[in-house]
Amino acid sequence: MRICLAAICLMGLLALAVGCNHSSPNGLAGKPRVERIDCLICHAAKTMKPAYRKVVPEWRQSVHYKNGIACNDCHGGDPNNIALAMSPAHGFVGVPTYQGVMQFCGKCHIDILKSCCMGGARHSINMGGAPCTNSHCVALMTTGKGPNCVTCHGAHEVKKANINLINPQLCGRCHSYALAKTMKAALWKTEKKIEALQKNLKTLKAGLIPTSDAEQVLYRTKESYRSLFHTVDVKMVQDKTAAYDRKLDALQGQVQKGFQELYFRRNFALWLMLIFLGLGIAFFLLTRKPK
Amino acid sequence: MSALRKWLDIRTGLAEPVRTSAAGHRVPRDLVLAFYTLRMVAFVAIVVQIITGIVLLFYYVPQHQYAFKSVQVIMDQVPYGWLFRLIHVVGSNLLVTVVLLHMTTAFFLGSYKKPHEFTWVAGAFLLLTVMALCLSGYLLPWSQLSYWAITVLTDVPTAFPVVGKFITQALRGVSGPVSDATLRRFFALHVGLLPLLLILLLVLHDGVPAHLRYRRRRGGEPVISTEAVAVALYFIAMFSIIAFFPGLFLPHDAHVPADPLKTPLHIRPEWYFRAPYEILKLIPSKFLGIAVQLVLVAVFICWPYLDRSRERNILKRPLMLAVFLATITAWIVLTIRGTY
Amino acid sequence: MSAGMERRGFLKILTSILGLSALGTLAYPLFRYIFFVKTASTGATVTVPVAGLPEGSAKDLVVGDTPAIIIHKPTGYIVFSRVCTHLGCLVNYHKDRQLLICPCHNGIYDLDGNVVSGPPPRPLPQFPFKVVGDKIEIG
Repeated sequence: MRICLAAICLMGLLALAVGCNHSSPNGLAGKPRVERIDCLICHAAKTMKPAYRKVVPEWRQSVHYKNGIACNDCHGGDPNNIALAMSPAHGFVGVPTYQGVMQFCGKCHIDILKSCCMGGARHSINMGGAPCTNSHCVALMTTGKGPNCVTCHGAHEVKKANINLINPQLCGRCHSYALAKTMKAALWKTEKKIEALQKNLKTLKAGLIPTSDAEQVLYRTKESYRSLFHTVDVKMVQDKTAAYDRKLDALQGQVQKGFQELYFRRNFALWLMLIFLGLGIAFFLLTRKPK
Repeated sequence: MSALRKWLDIRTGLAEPVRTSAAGHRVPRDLVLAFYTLRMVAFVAIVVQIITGIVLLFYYVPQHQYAFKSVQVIMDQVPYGWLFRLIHVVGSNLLVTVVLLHMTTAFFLGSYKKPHEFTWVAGAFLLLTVMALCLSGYLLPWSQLSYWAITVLTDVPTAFPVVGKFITQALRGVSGPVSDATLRRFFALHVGLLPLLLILLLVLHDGVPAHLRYRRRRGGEPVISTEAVAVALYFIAMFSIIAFFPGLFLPHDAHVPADPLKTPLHIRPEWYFRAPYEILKLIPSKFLGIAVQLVLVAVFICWPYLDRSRERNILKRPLMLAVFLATITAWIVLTIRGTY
Repeated sequence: MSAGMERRGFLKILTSILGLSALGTLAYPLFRYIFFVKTASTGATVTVPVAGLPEGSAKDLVVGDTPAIIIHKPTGYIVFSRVCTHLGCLVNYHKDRQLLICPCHNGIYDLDGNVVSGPPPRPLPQFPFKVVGDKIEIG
């Protein structure tokens, strides 16, 4: 019996030791699908040029990575076959030119591209389509020196957009910050409303109040508003802000109802907790053995 | 009031048994009352689960196209549906906690020694039944969390050479992946077979060896007052969690309907299964991993027949104490590892 | 001694009151839960005149609380929710390409609501409708 016990004791200690040291699991929990692409075989290798290797950790911090978007979704190519990963026949387009970045990102972000190019048509590099009225786009296409998407949002380390992307460091590079400041002021109140709504919906979701409809309405309102900003037309933003504010205020009304329900549930559970606390104490005092 | 009691007693004869098991239930003074009350808390937790489970049955639909939606309806549309569902979810986790604590203290105090071996064996099977209830209930909401956790867990028997595939097929109801047949099967187990098994085992665990229970009428400590405090603590814990952390046992994937084509980033079983799951991941051969687990379960069930020593005080048995502490520590470490 | 009896009496009453409150606080929700009857969604039907919808054209409308669209395909009418199943932006009908395209991330649906390309995980939900005389009743 003692030997048996000693054996079990040893097994337990061994399990402890192994448990504390063993770092990688046995493949039963696999890597996320977005990591299983062949592009990483070269681009994450130590022998890769630093400029091409650094894109991998940058991409892993991005909102694209979090949503399962991998290299091929933007650059093309076959991600499951290293021989075809950079094959033009399989859609590989390589790195876009400075002026071609808008079309490159606009493959998915079509509404933003439309706002950048006010005529709605995609331009060739010589502006062969409808005339552009967007000052940033005009500067970019005529002089080759205006801002493109990457200027503000980055290339691989793209994070979720917010109003503080409008700042003196970014916008003051080409012209005085005064113009950007006016735009930021026009957007400020509405953007703050959006931020507050996002925070409130998160709180409601944590409290298990149904929020998916409100989340979708907020998302499309926010995207539409952000798209409006990309016209870089302060007057248009100022004119149309009221309509967006009305939508957001209506949403805030719904959110308030959600909070009422959340507080009701919390108070109800708290009330039950207090009753049982009181009942426990009263019953204990009633039935305990008298000294 | 006392006239009503007398009227009932003449017809049912229940006054004496109620008094014996309630205020008349007294135990020796050197008994650790806090541990002893876990029995009553476990019993109350089971009753709560059964009642809330039956209540949820009014609106739950055990078919894969409707299961998730029916749970959403209970949470969002049915008045106080959220309350009963959350009591059931939080209650199941509290039940497992209480049962594990009760088992640990029973081991620590040597409560399994002669003549109580049978109680321990029935208790071991009770623990396995509670785990099976947790497993079968986990699939019923048909969320991403449910679907993929059950996919992983029902895949485990395939490690066995000949019978493994049949066991997995029997669990899933189909020869392929988890599907509607699995849901119906798990529902039948969760609502029909396993609760009956639970009640039968409870009778064997506590009812059959009743003559071995403490029955002192004079002297000794009354248990009922401490039991009341323990049960009150259980309800306080439950309603505090529901009030302030309602999403504690419902992570993000629990709110996404099951999608057989989309594997989530991380699939992890519920906290009480993480230690066995970590053992499976650590041991290189899947077959060996499951074999080791089965051996451990067999040792666990037959423990009173392996440890024949008459000494009940574990503090006088350093080797046993070491085994006990090593097992607890290993379990905690493996559970934490399985979480991060 | 009598103080003890008084206290005992008080405790008995207190315990009874608390016990009844606990029972009541649990019985009332149970009562509401069991006696709940789901009202069938009456939802005012939206009516669109047939004449206003020639073949190939589409019309935006709102069914219940959901922005929707009715399209007159070559094979008949069809009514979809406009809410993209990806993140909730409203899809737009492109007559020239005979497709529904979401402006947020270029999710593309065909005129049966099925996903052609892009991130949407599910097809567009459809709404029931019936043609009554020269009107189309939706919802």
